[in-house]
Amino acid sequence: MSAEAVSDALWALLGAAVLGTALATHRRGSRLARLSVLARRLEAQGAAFVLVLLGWAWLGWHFFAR
Amino acid sequence: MHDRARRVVALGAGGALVGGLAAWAALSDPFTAAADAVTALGIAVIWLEAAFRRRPVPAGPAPAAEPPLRWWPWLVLAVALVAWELLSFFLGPRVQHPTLSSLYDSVTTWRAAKGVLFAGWLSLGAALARR
Repeated sequence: MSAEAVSDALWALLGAAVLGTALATHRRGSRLARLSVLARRLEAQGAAFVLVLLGWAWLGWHFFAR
Repeated sequence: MHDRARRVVALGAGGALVGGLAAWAALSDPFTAAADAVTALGIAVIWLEAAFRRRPVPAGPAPAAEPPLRWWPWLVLAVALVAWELLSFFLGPRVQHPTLSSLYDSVTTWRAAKGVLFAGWLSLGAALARR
């Protein structure tokens, strides 16, 4: 198996894990924190929320404007 | 205007804005004034929403205490993603060990994919800014 195939498979696995976890948080009775809950917690911290918004902006600038 | 109608109008306007900016982003090329402008506009819209959106005051008594939610799977995933990104970055070459940026470059050879990713990024920002 080539290094490229292993690398692609690992990215696909990580992507599926993120998607699977996000879906699992929406199951009835799930005790897994939704991303929105984590965002609210960060928001309550003030400075951490500003950092999250800055990180989001950097991500967009890196991918779409560079 | 009723609350429901107002919500529908707001949702429609937001959808049109996201769609319009995503279409513009899809047609723009990196390192151009158009790409800078559409990204800066997206950031400005979300930051303005975050700055001016009012937090609703919770009504009634505080809800009963529930067992704490599990957040550690998100931490594990975040650490795994960052670790694999860094490992790929330092291992090289990109063809054998693509980073997220190089995967993005491959995918966005299709303009429509770039538009979809831009819309997703903007929607994530809107979700974060919503209070």
